[in-house]
Amino acid sequence: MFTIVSPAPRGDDLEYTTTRHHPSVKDEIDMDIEEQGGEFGEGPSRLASPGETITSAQAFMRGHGTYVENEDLVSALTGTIERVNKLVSVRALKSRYNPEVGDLVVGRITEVGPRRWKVDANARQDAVLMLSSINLPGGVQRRKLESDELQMRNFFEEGDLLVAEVQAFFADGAMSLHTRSLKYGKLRNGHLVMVPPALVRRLKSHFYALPCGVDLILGLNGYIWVSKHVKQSEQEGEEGFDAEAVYSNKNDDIDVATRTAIARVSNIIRALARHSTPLTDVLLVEAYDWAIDQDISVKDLSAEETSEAMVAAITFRA
Amino acid sequence: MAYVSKSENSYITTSLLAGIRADGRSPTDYRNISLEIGVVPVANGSARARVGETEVVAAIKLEVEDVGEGENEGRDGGRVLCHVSCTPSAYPHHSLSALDELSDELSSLLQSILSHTLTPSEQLTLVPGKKAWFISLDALILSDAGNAHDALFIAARAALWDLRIPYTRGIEFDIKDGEVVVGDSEGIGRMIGRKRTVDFELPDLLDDGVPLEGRDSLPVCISLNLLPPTHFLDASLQEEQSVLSRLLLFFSFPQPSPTSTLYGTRFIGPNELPFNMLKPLVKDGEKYARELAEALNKKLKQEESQVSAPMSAFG
Amino acid sequence: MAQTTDRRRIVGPESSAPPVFEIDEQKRSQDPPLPSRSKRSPRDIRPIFLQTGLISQANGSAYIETERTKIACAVYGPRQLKNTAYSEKGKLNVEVKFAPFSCTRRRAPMKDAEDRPISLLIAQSLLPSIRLELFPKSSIDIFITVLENDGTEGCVAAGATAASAALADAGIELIALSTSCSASVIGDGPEIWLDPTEEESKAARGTMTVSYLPALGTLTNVWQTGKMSPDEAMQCVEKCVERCTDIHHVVSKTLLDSAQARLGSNP
Repeated sequence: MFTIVSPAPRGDDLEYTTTRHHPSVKDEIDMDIEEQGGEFGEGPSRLASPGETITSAQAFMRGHGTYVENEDLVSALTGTIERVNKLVSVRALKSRYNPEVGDLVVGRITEVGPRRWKVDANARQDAVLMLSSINLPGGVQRRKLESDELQMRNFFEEGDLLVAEVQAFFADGAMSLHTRSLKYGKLRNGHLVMVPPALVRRLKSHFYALPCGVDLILGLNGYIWVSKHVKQSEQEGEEGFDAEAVYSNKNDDIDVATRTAIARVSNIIRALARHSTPLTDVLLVEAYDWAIDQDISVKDLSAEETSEAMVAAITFRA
Repeated sequence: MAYVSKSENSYITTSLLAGIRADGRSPTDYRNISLEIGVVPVANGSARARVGETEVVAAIKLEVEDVGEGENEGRDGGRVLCHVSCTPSAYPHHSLSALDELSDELSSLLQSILSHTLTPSEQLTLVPGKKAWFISLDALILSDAGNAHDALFIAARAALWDLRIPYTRGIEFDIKDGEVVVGDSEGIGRMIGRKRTVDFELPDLLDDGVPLEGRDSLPVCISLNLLPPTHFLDASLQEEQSVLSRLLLFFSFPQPSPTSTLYGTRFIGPNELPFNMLKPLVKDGEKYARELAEALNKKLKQEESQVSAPMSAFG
Repeated sequence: MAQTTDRRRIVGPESSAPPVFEIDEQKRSQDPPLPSRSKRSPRDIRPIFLQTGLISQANGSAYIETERTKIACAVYGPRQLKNTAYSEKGKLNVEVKFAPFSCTRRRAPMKDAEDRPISLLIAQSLLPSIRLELFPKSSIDIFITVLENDGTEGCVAAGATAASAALADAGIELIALSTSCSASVIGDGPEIWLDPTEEESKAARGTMTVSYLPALGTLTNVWQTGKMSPDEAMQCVEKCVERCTDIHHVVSKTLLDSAQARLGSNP
């Protein structure tokens, strides 16, 4: 019941050689850097720290994370140097989520305001969800009424989790979200896991159904929703879009096996995040299978040795 | 700032009722506890405890004060003052006044429990009626990922374990044949009744000191999160937000007898508790507290027997 | 400097030492003598005088007296919450103030460290009994003034009982009335004395204060300090719970009487 340990001694047991990638992803990234050897140093990824001169500014253009000083290109961040032809930029190892239009994010409502909601999406500013950007019950084309403005809490309340897409940006840089698809909206029947945003790559789809009966939504802002599987047919119910169902806070009945699977997947995600492994569905399925094969209990997955073994086993599978 | 939505709340509570927790622990499992003593070399006793991601540092400073009648003066048997600081880094969304309130609550809790267990103690009297020790225990909550109460008491207990009270010797003055003679009275503060002791001295400046008496039986805190008909221990932050009712029990196990002493109970939460559930909860709490105390004592003895000093406490 | 003699003063002999006083054994004898209960038995609580409606400008009020504990309680609410943050349930806010003349030693009129823990304990006693879900965005403020203080446990118990009566007087919906009682464990017996005075609770080994909803049989607060065994603690709780039921009769009778009086005067 109680495990009391001494804290690990601080020292040089952390290695910052490379971030680990799944083999398929690794090839894509290494391609553009490997072309130019020489000026950028030996290895495929060179690190820079703030104030470190990268190269001369005459031959290259400066990108994000760099600035020009006395004809030199100087790094402004701690991170890896990236180069695309003549554009040099530095990508930080860990930073706040940088949103783009079209990104899928999972957010939490922090405030209810006049005709809008403020959403915390792990970005520099709270995102805004306008009342006109959500699906109102009674049909996708229903017009907004006065009474909707007064009853906004019937749709989303403080603390609610939702999945939405970035529609545009306001002048001050805040995101404007919309949930105008039946895939988006309020989240239920599951559990939120938070990981650093850099570990979630932009991929074709962010909705995954794992074979163990668990659905995943990988938000690009690092918020991952792990929930019970919802059948495809039930998801897209077009006519008579039922408000009670979509904006309800009531969970379905979830059996113990699914709950255990959700807990297991959450622990796997957290373990991978601790080892800075970028997350993809393929990786997660492999990790899950490995965990089942090795017959590891859910709790042990969060132990240091087990998670290290798991990460080692899956990232080196070619 | 709300941390859980209604559906997450309902998911967590129904899972708990089925005995499953988000990270796979059983309802009576604690997260990994990591404990280190002697982390602040300049203090008389210190410790750092982590329960999962919740981290608390506690340190003790000793002072000598004159015995008097006032509230801020010493008294025979010693005096204890505890203070807990909730750092803004642990609670980034709290306003400063809310932080102060939380700090005050925890300080008065720690104070009320520890002042009854540590004082009055003969070991803390230096010169009866004149000088006594003043133990000042300060704790810092560096990060709170749930269950700050238990972590706080684990750190305070470990700091008290690490505490070394300098060895003192009473001295007396006597006049023989018109000459002042400075003599030694034997023993440390156990001189209640020795009529002539008027001051004390430190016989050995390099000596670390003696540990606190009865440190085996310092109290532990067990927080039982109540979700009738069950309860669970060591709530994570999300679990704490979903299940608001808690019963805090403070047990001490004076060695070597099998009995236990209850030094305090606190009830927190907006839900009432059926009367007939109290007794079984207290019994279960005693069981958990005994296991925790034994595990802590064992670990602390182990820590002490290793003579290595940590390279950098906060590296 | 030792050679020059100071002719302006009469100096004592050079080899002198300060006098050594004998330490008085009596003064530091171990414990003060245990108080004795002459006027009431250990199982009795002090008689309670409770009246509601004394503070006319408050929405509800109550005044309670138990021998040397005198507490006035005023309830304002439900009223609008000052901050803009939305809360789905009402907020309960309890503030306790000790009058400067209430204790043996004069207390400064400003708020000090002792007020807040007592406010929190009384708030905890009342919180489960109020139907806060009926008052979103509102707050209920309870102001408790201690006019005479005979022990912290007595203040908490009497204050919580008075506050519950005041809430009922204000017409705020409660699931049940909350009553509180305290007990102390004296000596090694163990002897359990209910409703200790300040002197008794100082001499006690440990004290227990319980808040109970007699109508529903549920506890709202269990506050124990000092040193006692778990068995003694349970015995204290059981005894307190019995007494809480008696106190409940007093409170409900007071409320019904004052309601009757109001109805009688408005035909």
